[in-house]
Amino acid sequence: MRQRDNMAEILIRVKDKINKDDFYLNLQCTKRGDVIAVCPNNHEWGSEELRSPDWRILRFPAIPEEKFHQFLSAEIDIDITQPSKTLQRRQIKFDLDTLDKIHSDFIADDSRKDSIFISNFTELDVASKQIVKPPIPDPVIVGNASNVIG
Amino acid sequence: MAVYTVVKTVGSSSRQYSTLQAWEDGSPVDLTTAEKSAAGTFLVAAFQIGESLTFSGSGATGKLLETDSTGAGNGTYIVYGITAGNPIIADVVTGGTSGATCVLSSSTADNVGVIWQGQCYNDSEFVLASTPVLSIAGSTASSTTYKELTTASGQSFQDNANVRTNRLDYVAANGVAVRCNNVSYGVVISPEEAYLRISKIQLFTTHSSSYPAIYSTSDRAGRILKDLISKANGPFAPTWGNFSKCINVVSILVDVGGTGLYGAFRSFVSGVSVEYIACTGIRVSNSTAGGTGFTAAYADQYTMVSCAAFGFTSPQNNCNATGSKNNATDNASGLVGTSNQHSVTYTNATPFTEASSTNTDLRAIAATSLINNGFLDSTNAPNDISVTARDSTPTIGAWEVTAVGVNVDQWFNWRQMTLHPKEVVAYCV
Repeated sequence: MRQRDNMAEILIRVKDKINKDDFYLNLQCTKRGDVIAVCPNNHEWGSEELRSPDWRILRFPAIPEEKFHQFLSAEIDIDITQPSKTLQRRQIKFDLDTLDKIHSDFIADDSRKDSIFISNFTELDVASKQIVKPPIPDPVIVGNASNVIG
Repeated sequence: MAVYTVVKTVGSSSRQYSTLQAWEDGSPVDLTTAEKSAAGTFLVAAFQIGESLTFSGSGATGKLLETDSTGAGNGTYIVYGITAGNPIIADVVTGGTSGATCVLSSSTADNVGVIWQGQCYNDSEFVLASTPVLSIAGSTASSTTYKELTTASGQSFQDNANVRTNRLDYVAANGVAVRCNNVSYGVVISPEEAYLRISKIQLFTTHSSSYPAIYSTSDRAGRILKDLISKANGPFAPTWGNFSKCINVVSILVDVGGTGLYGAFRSFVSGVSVEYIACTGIRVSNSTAGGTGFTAAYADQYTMVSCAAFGFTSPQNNCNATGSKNNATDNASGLVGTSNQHSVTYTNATPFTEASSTNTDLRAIAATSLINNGFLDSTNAPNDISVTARDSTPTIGAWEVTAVGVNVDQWFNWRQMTLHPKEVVAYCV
């Protein structure tokens, strides 16, 4: 039996998933820095989760699992009666582009020997890596683009 | 040309995926163009599922979804999503991560288009204290190529040896079950992709302010829900979305002390017509009646056939009378269409085994107006939610009462019977 302590392990996408044929569907594909799953420490990951070049697994022995749940939230409709078509799959991403070298090397290594990277990040470190994604304007709604004046 | 089903196992014990969301995220972005092709001359190393592929010759690129090759020297096929171009015979396929290679050996693909199927195992309950537990979106799909979340053989509540005697409720021990645990506005599955299918699974969102268990706000076409138990503790309808077909879905609104705003089933945006077939929707009997059992935002947006709605202020609104029939409710009026049953007595003990929030059990009981007053849709719902064949005059709702006038399943376990069927009938009558 594996020892679990409710500290966090996360599965994070490191390469954009792109639907080049459909603008709206593409917004719903996960992107680099999106957290796909959050599990407790010593979670028994599946074989494809451990090895896929699209994802990495990071273990945070100093951070409780629930601290990462906000990364799983989708962008939310402001008006439930007028559903937006441009909501993104994740509202917050983890900034993978400003990491230190040891983290960056793991993120860049598709053929990594160790499937799980043990991070020494603190809660403060993780907070500094949160990026709230800006809303995407709907191109078919007149006046919804950021460059429209008035 | 036939499509190919890419089966991926999902569960907590040595499966391909341990989380539902990773299974979904591993899907190709275009299900309609993904291919299975014969291949040979596997060299260098083992391919890595999910790695980028280059097809030398045609210049195409793609991503590996499946292969039977376990390393250099063996293998007969590869399945891949196409990123660009069109692979051709004699293409040398190279894995971008592994460096593995193989050669396409056929001038045409064996299959074009894939079903991305997640087969869940009941290793343990899928639980997440965040919402949604699973969202499904983003891929290009069609009526023949889609994502499908279901269970592996023997893993559903339907496969339980005691399916006819088990409570018809969310009971994780009975089969694959997914729970959004104690999250305000929590949702279990957010299915926003066209043509997806979900079946044989139990869903439960537990917070007293939860959103629906299965919740979609889009108008995607062709989505089918079948053989589900959907349960929510909040005021919103546990099954919410424009699903083209809901077949044998049990939707349990608990909401004790609440207002039950939207009943058990709700379709919302315009653009997709909904068929509810042999579904059971209740507000638990120890809650004050409220809300509308089957509800929609637009007139004539759906039909109800052989469905049950109990515990609400009214059984439906905006239901299309044309095509609706053989439904039942405790309300004195309100159902539209033909051959409906109104004013059916509703207590904790009738017409279901137990309709209160304690040990809920929505198996229909004998000797009520649900019995023999349903409609047999032999195409969509020949069997009930326990995979028991419906007779020509079936029970209304998701559960078929099997013996003439008597629900013998409540008395003893059928599977342990050794009596001749005629003896059973004689005994029951």
